Amino acid sequence: MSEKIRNLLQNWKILMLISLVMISILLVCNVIPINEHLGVGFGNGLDYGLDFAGGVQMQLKLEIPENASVRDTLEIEKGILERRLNAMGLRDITVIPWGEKYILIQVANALPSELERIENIIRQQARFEARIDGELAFLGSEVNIDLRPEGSGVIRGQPAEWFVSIHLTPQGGNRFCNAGRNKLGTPIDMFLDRPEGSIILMTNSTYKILSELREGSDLISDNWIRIIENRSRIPILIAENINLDILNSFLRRGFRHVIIATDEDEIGDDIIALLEENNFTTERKIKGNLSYGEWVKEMIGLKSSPILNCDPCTKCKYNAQITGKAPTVDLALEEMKQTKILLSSGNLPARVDIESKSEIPASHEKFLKYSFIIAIISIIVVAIVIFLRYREPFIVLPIIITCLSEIIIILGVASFINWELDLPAVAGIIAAVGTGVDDQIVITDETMEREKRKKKIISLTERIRRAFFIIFTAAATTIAVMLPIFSIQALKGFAFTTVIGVVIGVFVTRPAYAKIIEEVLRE
Amino acid sequence: MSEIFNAMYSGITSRINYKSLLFVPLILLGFMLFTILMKGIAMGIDFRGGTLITVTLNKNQSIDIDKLKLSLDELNLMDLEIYSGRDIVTGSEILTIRTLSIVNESEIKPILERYLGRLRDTDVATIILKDQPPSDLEEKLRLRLRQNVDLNFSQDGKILEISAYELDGNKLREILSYYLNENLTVSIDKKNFHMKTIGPTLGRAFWSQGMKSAIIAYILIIFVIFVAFRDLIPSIAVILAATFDVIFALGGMSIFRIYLEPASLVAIIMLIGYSVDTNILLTTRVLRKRTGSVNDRIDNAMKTGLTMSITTICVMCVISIISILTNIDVLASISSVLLMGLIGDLISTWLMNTGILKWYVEEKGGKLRILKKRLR
Repeated sequence: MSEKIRNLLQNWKILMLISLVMISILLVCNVIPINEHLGVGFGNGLDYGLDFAGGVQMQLKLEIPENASVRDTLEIEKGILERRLNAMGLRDITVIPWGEKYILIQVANALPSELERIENIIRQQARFEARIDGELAFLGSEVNIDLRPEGSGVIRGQPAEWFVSIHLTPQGGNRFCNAGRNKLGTPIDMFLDRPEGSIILMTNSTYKILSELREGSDLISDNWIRIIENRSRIPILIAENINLDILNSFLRRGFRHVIIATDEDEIGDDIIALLEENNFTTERKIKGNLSYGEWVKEMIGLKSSPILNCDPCTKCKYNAQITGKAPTVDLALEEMKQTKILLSSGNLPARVDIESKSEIPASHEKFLKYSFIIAIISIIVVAIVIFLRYREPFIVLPIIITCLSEIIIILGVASFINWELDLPAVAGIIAAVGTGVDDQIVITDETMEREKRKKKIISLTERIRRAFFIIFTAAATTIAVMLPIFSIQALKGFAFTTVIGVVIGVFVTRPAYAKIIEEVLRE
Repeated sequence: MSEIFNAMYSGITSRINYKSLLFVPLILLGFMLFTILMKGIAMGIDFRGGTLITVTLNKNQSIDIDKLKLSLDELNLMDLEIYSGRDIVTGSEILTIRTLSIVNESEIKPILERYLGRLRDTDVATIILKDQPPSDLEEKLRLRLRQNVDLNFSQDGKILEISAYELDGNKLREILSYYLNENLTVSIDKKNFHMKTIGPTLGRAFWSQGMKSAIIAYILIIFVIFVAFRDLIPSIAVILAATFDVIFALGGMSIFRIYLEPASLVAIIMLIGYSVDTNILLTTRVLRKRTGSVNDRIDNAMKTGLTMSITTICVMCVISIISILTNIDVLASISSVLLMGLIGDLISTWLMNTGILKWYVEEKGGKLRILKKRLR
């Protein structure tokens, strides 16, 4: 007995199995920190999809104009939606375009009130404005990006340059000329959802900090207070100076919303109460980990400020080119993409409808618990059937160990590559382990038959090779079936775990099992 | 148990001619096709578009489904179905409403609330306080609970309502007691209302995507089988068996009214995998051996194959029983479709495919050339 175990422990197939199982356990239990915010614990190294974590899933349908490129349109829409939804401060939102005209949005842990806001954002177009020194130059509805391939691009070089060509409507072109006359070298501020009709409320000390910090590193660039007040045209109210007269004058001028800019200095409840009593709506914008500049830009919706470098009254009146530089071609491409997204966001390339909405209950714990129970009972059932068939506990044990190792390694791989586990993925694990048991039975029978007819000349390798012909063919068909399934978003997880399971089975667990059973059956 | 499996096929064919056994799968195939044509296969809302609502009822709450159906008639819902089932583990009744129409939540919720009481989209915690809570409580809870929360404080009853996606009463009490310096009682009402809508065009898109993948998968299997066996008749037999299994499972779905939805589509794909497993085993064993009679080889393969199938069938029984009892619909539908398909596989492999192979070897002198070459 001990000699058999020693033999096994010297075999590289067994050693590989053991080490993979060990590594997988470390990954799944988050000992190798995969999810840094979680501690060590079984399952903490895994990512859970919406099926387990709970959330809302929406399918959007786009109406893509006939001559537009489907891929570009979907990409731009995805970018706009991501940008606007992230600006809402929601963390766990995934936006996945699929098929010819669909976008899947998944939101984890959203409240009904947030969902309403998300739906509003999806239904409404973003408000894009370009301003020069606070003067409105053109609106999103007045810009069209040139979506033809030659309309935008990156010129290789050091640094790489990117450009996006736009067309302005006559009205937009005229306003652009008025706002930009004699202003070469001035930034064109591009805003997305600039908080119109809002006041920013801050404490005196925040005001001081912001008036000393500049946008750029040089002394001529503007400080943030000037950017808020002059370039964005959003008034600032100092918390210490607040009184009824000031509030009334703002109300008369049509300001109804107050953005409360809180960094370390808290603004007290008394002030909020005063504002709400005077019919202002309020909203807190917390600085958090942002830099002061990022924080201000988020509050005022300022997205980018390219420099005006051609005359808006002659050459660039209707056909302008927005250009920029970046250190590498990849970065230039990314900046170009972001600019296109920004410029299209006021004038979405396609109309969006919410086609489907479904809430997925957070069944994480319930599901894990029952999966565990199902796994245990299933393994007991397998053990009973195998025992009744072979009447040999030394065959039952290796089969059970192999099944468990297979499950653990599949989970380890999922953890390692941060694959989100969902219900179809669990079905995939069942499928992989199910075919695993089938294959182990084939190996057992082939090996046992060899033992019975030892005197005959059929060699061990030939037997095992026969078993593995069956196993390889079966594995190849399973993988063939799964390949097209990868294209279905909802069933990707299923295809993934099945294929991983089958690959692990063929290369790791089944060879190891064959070795074990050979040792077990040897006289 | 193992003794029954010995020489099983020889035992059966000594009484019945193996060619007559071929009629069993043929008749069943005809029956299943007829059922599918007559009864059709119920499409889930994922593929057809529609609305699915589930409401978890309170314990001991009873509901008159017919009355509810009558009131919902004013919304003119297509193919409205209402049924209820009990979650064995939690003991509560779950009401399911399914229709092919797209329903607006604000339209249907008031009607349902008349019969079912308050419907909650989120978990709601109710706490009675002495004073108004500080205004930063929401922020603090958001950070501690790692999720967004909505707070609602009513001055008259001094009742604080906290809504969030998922709330744990004990944890919440701990956090609140710490911040408010009060010993509080927290009562939690779990979310009891789920709604899912799928637009009809989206459903069609899912459906065509699913069908496209299924057809590509089918072609790929045919390709792999032909490459592996390089022999026409055995390859056709394997593919026929897989096709039979799928039709058998679809027929079962039609009889038991199991919806065709992503989960059952997954099951059908899994079924193809299992079906091919047993058939490859059989084909390899029967055609590759040079020793023993054809019946001996079949008996041998059957012993292994039945062990495989019985193991899987038993496991699927366990999964379907547990998942039906615990209301994990996805697993329930996967396991029940697989169960039917695997029973179909027993018939197609051992009554149909075996017969074809026996005929091929005995009367056509077929052998698996490729294997002979490789294994010699």
